[in-house]
Amino acid sequence: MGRFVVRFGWLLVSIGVVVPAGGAERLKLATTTSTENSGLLAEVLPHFEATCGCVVDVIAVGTGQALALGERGDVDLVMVHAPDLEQAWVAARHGVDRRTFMQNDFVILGPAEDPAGVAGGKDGAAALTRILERGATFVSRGDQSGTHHRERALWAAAGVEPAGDGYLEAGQGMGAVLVIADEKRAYTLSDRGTWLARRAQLELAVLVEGDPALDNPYSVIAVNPEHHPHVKAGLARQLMDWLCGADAQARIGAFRIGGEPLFTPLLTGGGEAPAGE
Amino acid sequence: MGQALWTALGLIATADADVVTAVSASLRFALASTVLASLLGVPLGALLATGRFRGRQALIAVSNTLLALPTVVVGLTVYALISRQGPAGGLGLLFTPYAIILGQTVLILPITVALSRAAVAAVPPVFADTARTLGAGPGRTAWAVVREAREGVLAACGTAFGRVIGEVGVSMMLGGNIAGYTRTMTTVIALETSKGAFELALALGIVLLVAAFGVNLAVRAWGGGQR
Repeated sequence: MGRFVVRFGWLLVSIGVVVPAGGAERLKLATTTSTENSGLLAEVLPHFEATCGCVVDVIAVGTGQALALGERGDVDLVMVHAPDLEQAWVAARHGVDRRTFMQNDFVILGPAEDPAGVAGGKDGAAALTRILERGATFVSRGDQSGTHHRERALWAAAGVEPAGDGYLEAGQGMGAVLVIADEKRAYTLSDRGTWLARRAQLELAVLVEGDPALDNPYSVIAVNPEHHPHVKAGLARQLMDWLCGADAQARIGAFRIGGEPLFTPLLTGGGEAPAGE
Repeated sequence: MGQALWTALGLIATADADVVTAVSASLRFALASTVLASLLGVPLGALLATGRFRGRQALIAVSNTLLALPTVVVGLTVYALISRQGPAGGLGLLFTPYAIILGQTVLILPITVALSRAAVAAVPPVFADTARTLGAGPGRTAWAVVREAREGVLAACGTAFGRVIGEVGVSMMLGGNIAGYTRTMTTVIALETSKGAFELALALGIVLLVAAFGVNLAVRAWGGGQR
């Protein structure tokens, strides 16, 4: 009996070892898959962590889920890309101090042979309508993400309710949806960042871009400390100030994958030309 | 795929930093939750096997049914509990390693209970009678029976470990897949697959199987009861 107890006791002690001790303060940031999966945050955030002596926990989900996490007070701030949802969220007092600090744009991707004949168009809504009219296949995120939300807005602008065999709701992240569209020789809507990060493995091509309705601005919003007194409002504000400052803005503009910039900083005079030009 | 496999083996051979941290996190969380679930589950299982009380059959049926718990349901339930809006929200556990360990413990508790109950129930009743005749109290008697059934009980713990090291739903929902903190082998596999980067996912899949194999060997050696 003794031997057994000693062994279990030893294992119990090891539990104390397995969990990292609390040290630096941790700030929880809920964000979208596009900022995390592209590698932008891994490139930029360590510079903030070095200045603040804190650790930023990045929880990458869709915009819809990020806002829900903020609404429940499970994170300290959100970084999202769905302007009308963000405005409604702030209006409902879930968040405060919304700041739009960078953007990229959405592109409509499809097979290079372009069976629906939308290549070169400048009108996103018209292109989507045409894809379904011509009997081609469109893969939707279908996951309440910012990209899905924008796609819904384009269908609404076109006055079309997408349905039928040609409309596939994947319910997955952008990277997975790109692979599905590629395999099915189908069309899809993607943020440019994820597309640039993944295109080496894909045979898709950019067919429609440059529509102002395809602009994709990103904002940071602090969770309302009046609703959730436990949130680290001061640290959240520090991160937001830093993201909007010259150092972070320059780093965002300098971030490249395969030689191409992914995001355009919005709060500096110089830097890259706005996306879509 | 052959290319991906070679790259995967390269990542393992060079002890790639992402691989090492994810493997370490997975092993630590799985070990912690397995120990917790064993400490709670084995006595409960023994009690269900040897006790004579009302509702015992119902409890056995419940523990057997809960073996089928989907990880996402466990994740969702614990999420509702420890989210800031939940009853235990004040602890701020969500998106920390503690949340993962808690969820994983809930996930595998039915395994340690049901399987150790079965193991203990298989010990002939005469064994306990003898212990009692020799003057052992109820506690020592139960312990003697559990020891007699140790091979099955350790198998229960090993099975629980196997379930927990390979699960992704609880870790993803409660841990948030935070790099270097709550990112485990399985959440990296899910993430990298979603990004279309199969090399790291494959490398971790290999490591996961090797780790599970190693732990099974260790449990067998530890039990010392290969017959």
